[in-house]
Amino acid sequence: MSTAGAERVGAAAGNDGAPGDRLLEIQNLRTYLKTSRGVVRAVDGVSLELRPGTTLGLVGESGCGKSMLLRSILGLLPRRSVERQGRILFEGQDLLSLPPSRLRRILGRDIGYVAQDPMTSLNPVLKVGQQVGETLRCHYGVSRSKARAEALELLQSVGIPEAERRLDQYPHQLSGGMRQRVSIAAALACHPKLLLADEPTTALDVTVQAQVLELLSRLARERSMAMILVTHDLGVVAGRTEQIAVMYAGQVVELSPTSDLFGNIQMPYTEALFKSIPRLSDVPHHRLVSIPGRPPDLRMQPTGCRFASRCTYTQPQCLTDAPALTEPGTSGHAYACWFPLGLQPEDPPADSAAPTGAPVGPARPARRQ
Amino acid sequence: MGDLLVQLRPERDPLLRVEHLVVEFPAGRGQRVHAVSGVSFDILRGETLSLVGETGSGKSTTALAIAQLPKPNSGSVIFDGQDLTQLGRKELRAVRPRFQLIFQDPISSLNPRRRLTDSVAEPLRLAGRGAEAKQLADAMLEAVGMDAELAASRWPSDFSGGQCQRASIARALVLDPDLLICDEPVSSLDVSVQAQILNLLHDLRERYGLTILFISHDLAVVRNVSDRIAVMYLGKLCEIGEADALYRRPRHPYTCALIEAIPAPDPTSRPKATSILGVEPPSPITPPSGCRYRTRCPRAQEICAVEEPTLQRVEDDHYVACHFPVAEHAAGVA
Amino acid sequence: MSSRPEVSPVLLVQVPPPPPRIEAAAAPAGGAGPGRIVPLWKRLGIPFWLAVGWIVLVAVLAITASILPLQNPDVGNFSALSQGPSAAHWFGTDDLGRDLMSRVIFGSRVSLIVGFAAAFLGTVIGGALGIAAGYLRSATEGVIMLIMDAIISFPSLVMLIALTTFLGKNLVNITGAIALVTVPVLARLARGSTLSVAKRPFILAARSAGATNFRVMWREIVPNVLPPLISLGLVIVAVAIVAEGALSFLGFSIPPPTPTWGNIIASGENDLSTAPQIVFAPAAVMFVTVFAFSIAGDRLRRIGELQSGGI
Repeated sequence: MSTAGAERVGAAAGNDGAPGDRLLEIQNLRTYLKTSRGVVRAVDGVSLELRPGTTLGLVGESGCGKSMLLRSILGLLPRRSVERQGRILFEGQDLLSLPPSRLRRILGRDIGYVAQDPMTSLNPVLKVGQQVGETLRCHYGVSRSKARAEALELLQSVGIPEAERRLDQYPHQLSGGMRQRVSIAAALACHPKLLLADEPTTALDVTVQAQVLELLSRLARERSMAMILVTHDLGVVAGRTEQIAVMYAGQVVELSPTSDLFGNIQMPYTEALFKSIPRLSDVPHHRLVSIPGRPPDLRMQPTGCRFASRCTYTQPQCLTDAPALTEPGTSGHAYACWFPLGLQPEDPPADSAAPTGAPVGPARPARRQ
Repeated sequence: MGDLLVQLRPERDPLLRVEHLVVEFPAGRGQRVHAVSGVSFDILRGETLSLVGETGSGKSTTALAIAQLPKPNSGSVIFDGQDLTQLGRKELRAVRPRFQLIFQDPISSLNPRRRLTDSVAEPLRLAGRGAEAKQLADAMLEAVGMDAELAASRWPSDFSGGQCQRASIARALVLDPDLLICDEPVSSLDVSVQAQILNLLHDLRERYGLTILFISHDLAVVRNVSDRIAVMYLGKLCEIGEADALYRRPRHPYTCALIEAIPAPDPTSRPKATSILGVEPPSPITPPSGCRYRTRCPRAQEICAVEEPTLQRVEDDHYVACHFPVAEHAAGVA
Repeated sequence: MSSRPEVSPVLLVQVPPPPPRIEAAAAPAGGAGPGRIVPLWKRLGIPFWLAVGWIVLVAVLAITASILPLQNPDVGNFSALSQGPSAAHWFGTDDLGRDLMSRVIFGSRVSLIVGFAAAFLGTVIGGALGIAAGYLRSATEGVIMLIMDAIISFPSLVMLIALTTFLGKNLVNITGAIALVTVPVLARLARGSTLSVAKRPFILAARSAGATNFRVMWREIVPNVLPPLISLGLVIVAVAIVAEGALSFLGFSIPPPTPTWGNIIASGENDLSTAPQIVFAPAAVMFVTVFAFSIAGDRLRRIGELQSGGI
């Protein structure tokens, strides 16, 4: 059952609904990189779900593991020095246990990928038309002329003017925004069910950014395509996703339906992130609320909450016990925090053992957004 | 030429006055890139002016040209009464300590083969003050929030982006300059670190009485730091004025489009992409005739292709270069 | 206190606390973490250390040759002509009965001196020219690279032979001639490296602090260009040793009776089938020495690349 349009479905951290509902299910994924300086736990126990036709926004700062997560799903990591554990179920199949030949059939055809930097993600010595049609020829053995016709249609659908002429141009003849559109066209050539977009607009100007994001949303709607949109900018995901996951130090620390997140942030890191963004509505020359310190070293396995050393609300328990991602209510909003912001001070800490932990208090303390 | 420079305020004795700045590069096959085509503005002492624009606007080129790295093709850069473009090499070197730069990429702003403290102390050694160099450098590092002892024994690669940027700021301030030119200083930093650095700049500005030229593409960041804002497009100034006025009552269609395009972390709002036409910005090698923005402007008329608009006053300390500026109440932030 | 502080509007505009010490919790990346599992000396690898060991051995032997209990390299034992390796002569003897091992060890002096000196000279001159070309650009670069291209285009062996014939066959001239031939290669590398270093903002920062061109090149660029240059320089030592060997084989290097690897090989050319040790002893030592330099230089280059940001 695919859904067209922006249907808001909250996917919980636990199980909810029939398994067939879920296009992508990541179970306790861990990606460890062996380097000469130690083992880096780039992704350390991430579980996510994605329903067909919905968009998940994956937000976090650099080093939090969000790009690594995408590459782990795709398997685009050096085999020798990287170890992946857990399960990545795509349409029921575990991508981690598939032989490379079968994985290749899925990549590009059912799962598309748009990389961050449009300058380097296209082959500079191949024509644009060739690159867009390549997946078609690869997966479906389509003839060259038919691939070209399809490529033309794709370029038009991503809003490139004079598409016919562009087919024979080389990437360096296009601007950054155009190149990114070409990358998107190439990713969508085989009508994938899932699109992984790794910071697709970070390297683009803000006016082009708005256009490209609009394009991605429209295409996802038209093709009933699920999408994971990775970004460091909370603003980018605010109006375009059904679900948002916030990552920190290799883990998901807050997972919520978009509609519920912004008025109801639970995890202090998300709040801090939200607050440190300078905004047009701010008073000039005022001090931004910044997060002191630095993200933890991913080589060390900390005891307790990984954000504890930088959190304004740290309590002793935070330093010794690591909170797990839990969803106390049924709103689909999960968080990993002993003292989420919605709690009243007298409430006992959210307990991961109890299935329904401390309820979110009805009266929340007044917070400046 | 007087009326071409309405936006200047000579009566207030600005620290920096830039007039008719032109920077062009050869682009092969006899063509030239018109990176900056006649930009004029001034900065008063203690003021922060932000130069805003997207890729290809010429904002970074303007900043480097002001610092004579290298000299602009034409135009004058009058710094505290002296025209930098007319100075010989030796005289220029003597003035250089008074205006310093910070760059976008913090890690490559520092010599990877030199320990952090040495990098910060180097300008002092260059100025012949080697004896007190280490002491002053340590003091400056502490002032920007870094551990001087650690910095003395470690290399840039041992530090994070935010820390390297702090060190770069320390290095820029160690000679006690009057003017600080910041070329996208926070663009490659994470949001939380960005906030730290902006707060730091704010504190240092107050503490050392700095005049700042701040280059950025991010209107939200710029809102936080600026007294005055200048918007550039394809080598030309579109709009310049007092920050608040510009945000609340933007008059140039490009400024309006920039403001609208900024994504706000609010699920009910979706940035509009409708007020910019077309998908590809024109090339600075063959910029459009007349008003350079006309090919993407929904309000363009015939005259825009024929006659280039000049900066006109629309209100106190607010100037726009447009034949059909946006109506006052139509756009802007509350 | 058990209650959490509220985030009030006041917090946003309060007097700022002194800037936090960012170093506090996490140690910088290179430092004390369970970090350096593989220290540098280990990462260089066994081949590297074996190579270095061999080089050191040869160098020490060459330096101390006069005081070692070696047989006289110039005096032949006529009762032991062209003999294979034995207890008395570990490498055998040549056609005049001279002990090959001591000849090879004494001969290594010329090879090593010429090798090191020529490579050093070439590195200094080539490095300087390359950095100047890469940093100063325009006319300077044009002239320098033109001269480099000219030198490279000329057949190197012919040039070496011509130079040594006309200038005289002594150590200084040979070293200079070989250095000349190696300069373009090192200059090319130095220029390429300088081009990429000069683009980085810290160069602009140095200029904006008032540094002269010379100072920028010396204090900012040289430290960054030196590592790849030195790595190539070691490989060039190998090349120089082979070049000297070729010259002396052809008779254009230090004339006999001074032993050099090349002229020992030359002297054994005719007896290759009957007394192969005359050719193989010096050739083998030369091969291993050249190989050692190549490995050492290559390994250093790899480690340097990895450190400056490859994965």
